[in-house]
Amino acid sequence: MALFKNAFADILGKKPKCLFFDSNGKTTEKIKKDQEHALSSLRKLKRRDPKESKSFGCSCGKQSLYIPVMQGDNIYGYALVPHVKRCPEAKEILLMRMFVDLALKEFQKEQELTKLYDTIRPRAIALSTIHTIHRLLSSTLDMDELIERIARLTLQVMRSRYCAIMLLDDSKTHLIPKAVIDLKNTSGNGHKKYKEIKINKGLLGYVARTGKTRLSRNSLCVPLVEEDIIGVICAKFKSSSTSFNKFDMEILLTLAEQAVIAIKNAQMYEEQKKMAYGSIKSLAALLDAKSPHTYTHSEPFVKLALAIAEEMKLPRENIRNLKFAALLPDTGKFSIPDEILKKQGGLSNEEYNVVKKRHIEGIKILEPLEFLKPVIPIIKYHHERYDGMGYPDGLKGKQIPVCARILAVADAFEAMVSSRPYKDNKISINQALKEIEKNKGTQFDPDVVSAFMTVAQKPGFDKVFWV
Amino acid sequence: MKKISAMFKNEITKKILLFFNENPQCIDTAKGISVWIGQEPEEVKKALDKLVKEDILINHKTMSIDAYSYTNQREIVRSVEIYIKKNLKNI
Repeated sequence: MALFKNAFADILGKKPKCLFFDSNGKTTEKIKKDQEHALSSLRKLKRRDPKESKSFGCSCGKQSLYIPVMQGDNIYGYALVPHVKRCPEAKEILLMRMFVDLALKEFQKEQELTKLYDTIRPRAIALSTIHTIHRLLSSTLDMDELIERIARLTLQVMRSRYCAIMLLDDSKTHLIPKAVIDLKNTSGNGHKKYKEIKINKGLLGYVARTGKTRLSRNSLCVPLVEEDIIGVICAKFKSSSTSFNKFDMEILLTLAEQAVIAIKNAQMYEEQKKMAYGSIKSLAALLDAKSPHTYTHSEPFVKLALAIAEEMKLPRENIRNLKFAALLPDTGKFSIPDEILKKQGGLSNEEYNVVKKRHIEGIKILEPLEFLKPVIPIIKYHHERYDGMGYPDGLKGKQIPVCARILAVADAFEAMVSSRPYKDNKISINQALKEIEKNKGTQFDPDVVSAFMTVAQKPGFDKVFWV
Repeated sequence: MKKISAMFKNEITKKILLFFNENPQCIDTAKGISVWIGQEPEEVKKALDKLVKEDILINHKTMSIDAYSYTNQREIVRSVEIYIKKNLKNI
């Protein structure tokens, strides 16, 4: 409005009192008494000639001016300039009319932009949120981590205080709670233990049975569908005092679609992992059958290696690879002659060279197994020493893969405390710990030894790891 | 946690708080949020991490993505809302 007033002032030479009326003749501003004459004259004129811009004599005798704000045949309102000092010329009225047209177009454009912004922006933000959720869910294949993440993201996106994710069991008769987070339960971390639910019971059972979404004031429950129903996601109690709405439903349905894909991927990965683990165990059993205790290690050995890795907070992928490597640490010995392997006391230089050469050859039997690619360097380098005096490549310090450094400590410890048919120099756990500590920084990585010592100090270490 | 008012003194944290107050369900990366509030991504990242430290935002960090969302703590959300209503009426 200020724009109109300024423009009219430029044309008329003095800032006019300018009033605007909608097409029904109502004004948004309070009318002053002396302007009522002009308004009543305008109403009369409007009836006669509503689309013309005109100056007119007001009933009080003063000159006034009105310009319809219109586009095509649509009249949106009127600009009224009551009691102008002089009667504007026709070309001035035309100029003001043009300005009103221009201003109307600009105003409409701005309104459209505002409308577009108000409509599109929340959807664009929601779309970006869904994309981010997709990226967050795709970045893990660990089922427990994934389900927990889906639950947390659901809480976030729904702004709810409760979320349950339940998956159908194999018989499809029960829903098994996989993650239940209840922020209303302030004790602990909000996790609650829930029992499984029969599919013919309650809200969750209904959704799992029918595949239909249920939306109510305080809860929203959607099915997880991938060809068939695999489970449900349920959000309850909004953080604010609002209710769940259809927009929430759309978002949760989209999240559920992303979640199903991620769950299926994780399930396939779990199956693959089991298959891989089974294959390695078979291979270990085969080697063990040929010569017991020569190529494979005991379960406590695997546990110990993993405990050290967990103490060092290694990423899950590293821990998985270490687990596989710990099942077959001495595959490299496969092609080493038995007389060298079982020899008591030190090796001659010639024998040591045979060990180094055959160690690499032995590992080659693992190479065709694609899934063991990241595991091979761990097995290959676990005889390296931290000071670079080990074999096969004389790697030093951090050049040696961290899992190989862990395996080296676990391997040495087991060798010292276990009985073997071909050695009779078993020592006590305490002596073995001292020996490991003594070789910290030379044979072993000091960080790994520290983590190992922490593990060894935990109650029941001797019972858990070695009997 | 520092007083909510202190968070509004910095222009970028203020914009982030206004954004999350308006879009509490949003989960986005620093780059994404920088687009929504029209600020430089590096500066936004610093401000986001600061707000995470103050428990006002949650950081969802994985190997491949670093995302942020609004806290679920009712009291904090309410305080931000009240502050905006009281002090930033014209926004």
